[in-house]
Amino acid sequence: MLAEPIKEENILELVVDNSYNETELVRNARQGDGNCFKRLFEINVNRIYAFCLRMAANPQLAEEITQDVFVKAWENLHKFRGESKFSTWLHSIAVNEFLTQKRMQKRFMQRFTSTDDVLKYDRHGEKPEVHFNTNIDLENAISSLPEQAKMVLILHDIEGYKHKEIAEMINIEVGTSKAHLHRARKILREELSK
Amino acid sequence: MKCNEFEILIDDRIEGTLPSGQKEFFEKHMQECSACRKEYEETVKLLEMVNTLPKDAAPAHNLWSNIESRISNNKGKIYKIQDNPSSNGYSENGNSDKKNRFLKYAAISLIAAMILVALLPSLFLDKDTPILNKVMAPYWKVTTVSGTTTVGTNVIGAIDSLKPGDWLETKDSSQAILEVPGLGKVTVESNTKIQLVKSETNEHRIAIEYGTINADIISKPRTFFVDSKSATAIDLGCSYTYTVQKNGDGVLYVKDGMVSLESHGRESIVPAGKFCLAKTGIGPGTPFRENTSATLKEALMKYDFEAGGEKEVETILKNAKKSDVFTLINLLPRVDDQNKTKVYTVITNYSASPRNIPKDSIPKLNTKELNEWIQEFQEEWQKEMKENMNQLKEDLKKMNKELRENLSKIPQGEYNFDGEQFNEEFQQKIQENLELHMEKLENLNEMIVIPDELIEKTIEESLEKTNKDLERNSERIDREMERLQERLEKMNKGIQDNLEKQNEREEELKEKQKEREDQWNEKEEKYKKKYKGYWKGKEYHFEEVPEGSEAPEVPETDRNTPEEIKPEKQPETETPENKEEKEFNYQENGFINNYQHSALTN
Repeated sequence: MLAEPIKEENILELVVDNSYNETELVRNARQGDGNCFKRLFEINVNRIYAFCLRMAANPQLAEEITQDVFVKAWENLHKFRGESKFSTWLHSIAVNEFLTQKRMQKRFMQRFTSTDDVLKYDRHGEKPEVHFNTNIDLENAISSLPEQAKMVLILHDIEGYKHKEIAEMINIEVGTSKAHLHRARKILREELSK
Repeated sequence: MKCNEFEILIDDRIEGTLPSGQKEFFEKHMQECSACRKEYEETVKLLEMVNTLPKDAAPAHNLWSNIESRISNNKGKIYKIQDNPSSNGYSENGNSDKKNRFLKYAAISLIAAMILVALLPSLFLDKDTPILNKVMAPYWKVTTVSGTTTVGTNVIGAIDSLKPGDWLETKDSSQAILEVPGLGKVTVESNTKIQLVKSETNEHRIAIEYGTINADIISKPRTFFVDSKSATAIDLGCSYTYTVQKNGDGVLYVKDGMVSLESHGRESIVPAGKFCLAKTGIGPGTPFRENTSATLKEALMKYDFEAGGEKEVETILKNAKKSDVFTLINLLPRVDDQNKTKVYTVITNYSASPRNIPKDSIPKLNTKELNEWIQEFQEEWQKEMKENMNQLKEDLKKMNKELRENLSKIPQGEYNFDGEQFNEEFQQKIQENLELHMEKLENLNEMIVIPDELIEKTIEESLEKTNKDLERNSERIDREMERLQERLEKMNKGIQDNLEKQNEREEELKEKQKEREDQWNEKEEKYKKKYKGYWKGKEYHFEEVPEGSEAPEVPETDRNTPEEIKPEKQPETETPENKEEKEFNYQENGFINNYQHSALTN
């Protein structure tokens, strides 16, 4: 008996669906396959960069941190157990990077104030530079939120993570995550109603 | 419900996680309180706006190149990313992308199919070579096992490929594995430099400039070649180690199968367990077993590399044992015609020629025939070993059976069993069996070649370990001694300090004593001058002496000895009254009494 020929739409599904090979890509990358890691980078870079851009409110810094996230991911691939999505793991690395950055903010600011083009990072002086081609007011309002409130809002309302996942990423209580979100939404409402 | 309570619940209401009990109150409050309703509506509106925000954003620069270089800097590796169709212009969304990608995949599949069709005839022409080998032949897969390995000037990544013309170099602590499907595996040890010269279906050739390679070849004989300045190693289905020094001299050790070492018109067939040296400008020497006699080895070196003659051949033949037959077979084409017969005779004493070679054709023996001979002998030898092992196993089985039988013969429940006799017989049988097996084992031992190198290495390792242990122990003892010394010094110092302190204290006490004595003497002198004591009858009297005058003269008659002045009647018991009186007197006339006492004793 002859096997049924594969229909074109099935082939399309196979080609388009990336989830089927994420595990494979991670496994190969873990064994040192640079091509597979590059593929994982290509799949996730835009999402991670968007998160970094919203958090940093500065394209240059966002690019820098995105690079850090992928370098860290490569170095720690052996720790990724596949219990979550690869993108979730990358987000948690990014969150960690920002928390570390915050801890090192003093040194960071010193570095930035010495260069002219990144002075915009100091949000007290000028408006943040968020290059999304959509709701600029809303983006600006988000970028001016307090750090943790902003992080929780981005992860919850934009990235779609649950409070439990966010709590694990930031290492806070679920209740604290909820409180941050409530505060962030309140500030945004006030900012937008001005 | 109050407004502040309502505010807290807004998020839960939106997420749909509001408990059913609170739902009614929430709805009720929203209808009643316009401010709270407005807040709720604004929040919903905000979330609708947030939902429209994009999750993706493309960075303005190419981040990958930087990440790639950072990864390579951090890990000491550069991951060569081969151009692959899916790596460019990738985007997750859009149907047009789906179609484009499908077309791209379709085009690639078509090209691949065309290549396969073009290759098909050649793939089926040679049935011995695996298809994979044919498709992958031009590239060798390189797996870095440890450390830094370079291909040309690039540091290679965990998996990379080597193409003809590429040089691969390992450093101090690095090791690389080269793999070719259908051919086998080549391990490039540390401090080694090799070049992939040719990689074709029937010929894979590498050149080794210096260092060591371990080859495990599974392909058909004469497929894998290793060139060096001194000789070319050609596999004949084998596993071997080949070390080449920087001057080109090489040492080959065959672990399994056979290797042919060829150069300068010389050819040595090296079977398993044998070594073979090769010298630049001369070519390969005669293979030998490592634990062959030193005299034989010396003679071989002289003959092979120092233009030795008949004398050396005689020494070789005199010292050759059965296990040196391979050496003699390899020597056969190298000696002159006259010596060939001698060598041939010695060989045939140990192993018959596979073909019935007439004496006059001995000088004409070619490599193929020699090879055949070696092969035959090797097979024979292996068969012999196998037979011996089987015999040993059978004997052991037999012994076990006998033992069981003997044990079953032991009468159960009867006490007339002669234990001593049984024991004697049993011991005798065991002894016989042991002797038999020892003899066989000795025979086997003679045949099994353990390289001196291994023994030396083991001894060296054990010596090194012992030395290390000794060093560690002596270090510990030294440390302990130092600690003891320190403690002793501390104790000595303590004792010295104490002695000094004691001396000081003594000095101090002496000084104080002296001071007191001086004070006392001074006071005594003073009182002596001020008071004068004398006996009047039985009583002793004091009299103040006015300054400038002498003490009053006491009449001789009134002077009595202290014995005489003892009170006639001592109170027998000390009554509280007299005790009090005494104490009072003492306190009142403290010093005077003292003085009185000293005067009495003086």
